[in-house]
Amino acid sequence: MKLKKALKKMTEYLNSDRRYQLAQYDSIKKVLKKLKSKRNQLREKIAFIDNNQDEIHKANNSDERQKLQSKLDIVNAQRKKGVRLMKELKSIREDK
Amino acid sequence: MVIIKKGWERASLPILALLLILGFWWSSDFIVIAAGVAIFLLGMQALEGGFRTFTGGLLDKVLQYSTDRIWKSLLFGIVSTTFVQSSTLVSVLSISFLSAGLISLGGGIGVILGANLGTTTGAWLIAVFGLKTSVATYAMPVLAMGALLVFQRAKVWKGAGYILVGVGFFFLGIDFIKEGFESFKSDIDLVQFAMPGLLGLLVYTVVGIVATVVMQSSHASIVLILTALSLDQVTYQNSLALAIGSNVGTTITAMLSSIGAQVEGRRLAGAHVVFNLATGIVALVLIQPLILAVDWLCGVVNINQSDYTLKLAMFHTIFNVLGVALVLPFLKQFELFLLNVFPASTPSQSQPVFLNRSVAKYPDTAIEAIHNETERLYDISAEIILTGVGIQGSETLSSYLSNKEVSRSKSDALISNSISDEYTLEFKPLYEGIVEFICRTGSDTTLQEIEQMHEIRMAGIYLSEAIMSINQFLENLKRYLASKNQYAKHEYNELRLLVGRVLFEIEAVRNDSLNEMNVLSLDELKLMLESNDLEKYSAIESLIRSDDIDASIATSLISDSGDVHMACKQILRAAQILFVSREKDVGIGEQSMVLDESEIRNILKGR
Repeated sequence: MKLKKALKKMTEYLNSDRRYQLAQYDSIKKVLKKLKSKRNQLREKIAFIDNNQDEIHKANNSDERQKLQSKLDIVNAQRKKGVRLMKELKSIREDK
Repeated sequence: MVIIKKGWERASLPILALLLILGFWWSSDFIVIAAGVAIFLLGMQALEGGFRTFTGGLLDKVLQYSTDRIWKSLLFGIVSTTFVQSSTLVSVLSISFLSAGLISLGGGIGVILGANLGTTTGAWLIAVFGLKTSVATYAMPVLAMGALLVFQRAKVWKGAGYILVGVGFFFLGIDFIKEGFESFKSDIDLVQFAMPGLLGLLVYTVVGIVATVVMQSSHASIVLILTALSLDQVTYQNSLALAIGSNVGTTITAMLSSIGAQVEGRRLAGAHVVFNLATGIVALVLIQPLILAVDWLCGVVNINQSDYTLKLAMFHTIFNVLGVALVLPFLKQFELFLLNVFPASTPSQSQPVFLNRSVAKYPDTAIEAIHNETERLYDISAEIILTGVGIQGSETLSSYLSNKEVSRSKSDALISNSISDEYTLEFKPLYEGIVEFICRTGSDTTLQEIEQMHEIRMAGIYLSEAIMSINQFLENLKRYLASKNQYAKHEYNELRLLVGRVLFEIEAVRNDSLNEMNVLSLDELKLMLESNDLEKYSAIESLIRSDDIDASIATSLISDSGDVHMACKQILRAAQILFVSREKDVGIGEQSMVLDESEIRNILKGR
């Protein structure tokens, strides 16, 4: 069993397509982690603006909120794409 | 230099062929020796090719990360040369990497010094295994096995096959040379040509240099010297001079490969020549103390005093170590000396700076050079576009972001009528150079590497399309900025400022070292562009409804707005290819997660 596993690993390493897919999988995983922390920061900032609405800065806050919301929308879409790609790569890996 | 190289290339073949024919006519044993050298050289070539295929650029990757400290680059030089048994391969690799800007001059010098030490292991290998045992018996099965693998389809097996064939030929060649010299000895005694004293030292050093230049391999010279020495065809003293000569002669290959290289590559080749020449002179001056040191060290490690082949290997190692030890304390001064001797030239902006023959040898350096050159193409495009829309110079980049400085410079006098001249003179020559280089860099590249090159080439296409789109917009921009219709003037100025904003924001993201996901941040700009496109269209509609602009202005505005948005999108596409993280563990993921146009539209729809 161990030998089988070792052989599988070696074949994976020697196959350059496979190597690239593995690198892509790991890389997306890393970027997703970074995007997650970016998303949380954006959410915190939006929540802060929502909880501190004063009449004087209302217009400014609304602009700022909109900008942050756009950034958050982008991050969410990127994360969604990343997760989808990871699933695809995982299924290719399992198929082989 | 190029003339000398071309002259040598043309003249060398007939001269060497004639010398070989004369040699064959002179002695039948010479045929065996020449065949041995030929087999040995073929072996070296197969070994080199095998390592290149087998490692799949591993050597290149390790080189990038192991030259930040002098001890690391020294160690890399020693280990890699010992492993691949070719200092030429390692020096040519370093020259390519330095030319592509992947390693520093200091790092490159370290590798060259290390390669000089690593190459001494070859002499030990030949002296211990090649001459002491009948290696041909072992070489033959290795050769047969290697040939079997060479015909396999898989790249890895092919590479392994070439390594085995290389090793087989390497030792088979030695065996042929040995056999040739043995028969040769019974006909002609070469020792009769031995020269004692200083004259012998100098003459044999020159012979060593010439032999290595002709064979372009110090290993081949060393194997000849060691074999001749083992069969008493050359005296010990003369063999030492031959070894010194071979060390100097080996620099010729690096020198030739640096001719097409950038100034950085020429500096490294210069370092190789200066170092080996200085080491050779020191060894000649200190020949007597070195001989005594060899005797003493051989005594310490129990090498028989009459075993001259091992003593020669010891001498080869000692004088190379001495050379490195002499240069290491003055490495900074050595670097400065090379910078002075080979000053950097300032090439024309439209000529390629990073693309040359030396970087084309390895896929990694080729891709890096193409990337760097296309980044230059991006800078040229940005400058052409900014100048075209009347935003002068790059110093306004930061001021635009902070206080919208450009909005004050509305004067239509600044706007060009056309940027097609700039496109033809500045953009096109460089772009052509990049495309030609990519087309010529095809062999030995993997599918991913080809895709990478194709993607960078696409960035060039996007930039070219962006310039064309902006060019179409300029005539109307100039016209409407001078128009009496304030609304038209305002809308055109807005479009012009949009171009500036996109370029400046890309520049800000590019220079933001704290942001780790630069390329993904640019998606925010894409969203802004898409929503701006929609807003612009409704703004034009409302201006028509309120009779602020007529249909003629409106149609121009719609068409020009389309051109400007298209140009901005193409610039962004190019930027997302070029400014992706160079760290592969992040870059691949970043690039695959960049949002396309439909995904951006979906975000807008969801609002």
